[in-house]
Amino acid sequence: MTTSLLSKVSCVHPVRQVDNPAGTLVYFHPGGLPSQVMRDMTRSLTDWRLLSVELMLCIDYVEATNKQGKLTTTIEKIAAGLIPQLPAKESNLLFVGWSFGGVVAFEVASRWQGKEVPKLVFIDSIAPVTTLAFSEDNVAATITFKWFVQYLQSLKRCQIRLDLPWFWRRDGDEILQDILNQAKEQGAFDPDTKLVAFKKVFTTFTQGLMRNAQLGSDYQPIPYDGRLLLIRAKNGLLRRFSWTQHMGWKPLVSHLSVKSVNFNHYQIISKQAAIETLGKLISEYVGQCQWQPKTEGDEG
Amino acid sequence: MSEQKSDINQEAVKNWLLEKFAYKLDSSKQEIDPNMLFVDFGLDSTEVLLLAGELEDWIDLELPPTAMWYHPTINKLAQFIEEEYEALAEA
Repeated sequence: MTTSLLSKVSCVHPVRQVDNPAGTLVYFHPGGLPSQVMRDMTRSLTDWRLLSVELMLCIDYVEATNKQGKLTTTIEKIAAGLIPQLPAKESNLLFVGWSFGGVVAFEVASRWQGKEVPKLVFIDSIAPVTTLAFSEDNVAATITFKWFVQYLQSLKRCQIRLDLPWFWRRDGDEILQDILNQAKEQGAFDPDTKLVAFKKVFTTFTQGLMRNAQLGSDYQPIPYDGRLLLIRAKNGLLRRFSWTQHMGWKPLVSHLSVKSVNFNHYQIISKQAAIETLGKLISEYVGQCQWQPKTEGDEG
Repeated sequence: MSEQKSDINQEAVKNWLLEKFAYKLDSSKQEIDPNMLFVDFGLDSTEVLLLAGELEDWIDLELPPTAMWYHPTINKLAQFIEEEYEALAEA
């Protein structure tokens, strides 16, 4: 029997170790874009220990749906599997999550049995509440292509013009070929990259969106008696619900503050200016929160 | 089974992957370690998926989404694909 990567590699990684840390920041990353951004985001927190939770190395998350597209797990189970891998005895915990990483961080925090509840920072995470749920039925193909282009632009540092007039239906392959051609012209992909291969990138992207949507729609979050800073992207995935400034989190946390930054859902953790802004906001938030004083022997 | 599919075995898949990785990494086939984890090659996620898409097109077989997690090296993936073909042939 072959040994899987998932059984050999832990999904919780130490990023910065500090002697006698002021606190521990745990970053929940759902994949898609590189997670190393969290080092830059937290550069000013020099006396904080950093851990990274890579959900794409988490077997329960990666296999959340079966071949028939049905859910095989829940957010609760994913969170329950992560908790033993995190430092149990620490005080001064800050959970930071981007996108779906925030949803998983919320459940982990809800189950936390430590000295105090972790404080939370979510970066453009949509709360798993019914009114904001999206699925294959209610997400238009045009929106999926738009998100895919935003994703590619952030990952590959290219500019892609998406031509999707609502009144004219174009073939999906035609749209993808157009996107691929533009990306190749800018050197984002090799000139000999074929559409059949590029479609794998797109279908994997959409499968990931649907997996997160299914997990979220199945989840019953319990209100959390703790603090949350929500940093939302002004041009985020929920733009059409822009009236919902709190992205569904208001009924779920006892203390919520919201900041908006002028980027889209993928730029917010990839553009240098966005990362610097996030760094300042997180640093300010850490400064505003009440933390336990540093004591020896607090580490788990 | 088509002539193309009958040529697809572990060695052929391994050679195909070695060539592709060598090209992506601007290296030679001999320098690519077939026992190195895919994540350690330093390619971003889209490049790995492009390879997977090309591979599926060549072998005319859809790989499960977790194929590269459960078979995370060139050697292991090639072995898995050969096993899948044998299973199909017997079915």
